[in-house]
Amino acid sequence: MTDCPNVDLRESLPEYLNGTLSTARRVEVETHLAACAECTAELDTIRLVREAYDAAVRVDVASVVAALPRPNRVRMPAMRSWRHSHAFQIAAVVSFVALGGMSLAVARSFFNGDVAAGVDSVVVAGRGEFPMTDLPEIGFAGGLGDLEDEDLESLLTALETIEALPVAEPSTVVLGGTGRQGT
Amino acid sequence: MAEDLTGRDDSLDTSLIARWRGGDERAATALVERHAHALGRYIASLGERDAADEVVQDTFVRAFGSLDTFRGESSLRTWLFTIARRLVVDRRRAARRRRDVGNLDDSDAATEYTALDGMIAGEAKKRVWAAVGKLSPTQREVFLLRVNEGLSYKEIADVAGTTEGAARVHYHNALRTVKENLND
Repeated sequence: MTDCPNVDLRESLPEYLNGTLSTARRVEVETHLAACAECTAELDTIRLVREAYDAAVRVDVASVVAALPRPNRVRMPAMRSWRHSHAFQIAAVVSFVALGGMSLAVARSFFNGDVAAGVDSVVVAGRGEFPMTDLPEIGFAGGLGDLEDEDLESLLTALETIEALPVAEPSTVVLGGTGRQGT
Repeated sequence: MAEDLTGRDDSLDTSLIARWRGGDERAATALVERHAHALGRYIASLGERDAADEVVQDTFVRAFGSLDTFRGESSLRTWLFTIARRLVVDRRRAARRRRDVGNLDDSDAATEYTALDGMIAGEAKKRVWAAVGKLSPTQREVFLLRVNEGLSYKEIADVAGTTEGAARVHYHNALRTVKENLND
């Protein structure tokens, strides 16, 4: 049997069987099929092939579904220990530097201000007496980005050695001239 | 008219994927139900009917494991077919290494189809399988993607790694050959 010369319509036969044609196109194909023995035979061949393959393969959907990953397992990457994440390390260093800076600022304003005008020296319990004139200048040049990994590690190590709770007895501050003691 | 509307609604696939990403596991079942049988037919058409179940499962597991990489530029079914095809090629390569023989692409498929002749009930279906089995592997793949799954030539080209023009030529040559074989 020869092929129908209407190639455009023949091209639509698989989609016709799949039911994916528009209504208008489907009516057009059916009208043509009613008058074309070649296309009807071709459609029968295509249908026969589809039926042969449909019958030959069966898939157990339940077993496939059972093997699938759960949704939350797909996109949740394995989390690193939070204490070892870069975000935590940087946040810890920033907090350490910020708190240290605030403490220094408070201390310096205290020692330089009116309240501490009469303070001659600071006595740290068990560590001796330190004259106010010997207070060191402490600064932090550059940003955290300038620190190497080793510097960050050493800062973190230092941070971990600091007691979280205050010592039982506060250091003694000797106020010059008045003999007052405070904390 | 025999209508097969399963699996050709891309917007429904997109919606089901979104639901699955949101934690709805029933959406996974719906997606598998929509595409599993088409995948099985395609894998059988590649000459791996006995392993179709296993390859279908592997295809879905791999697809769901990387759904985040699915951009929706092609249909989900086309993407699944592409994964399945790659898995079949990998299986063939592994089998070739194990048996240490030459290229299995043509000879293995022919053997598979000969064996299938005796497994399919019904004289007409046997004749169809025999007629399709005489096609070259590329012709058979293109022909069955078009006939069984209704893929466009563009989609076939994407799956089979060829061009639209070549897919069209393969389809028409295959159709002519099958009709001739069935009329012998």
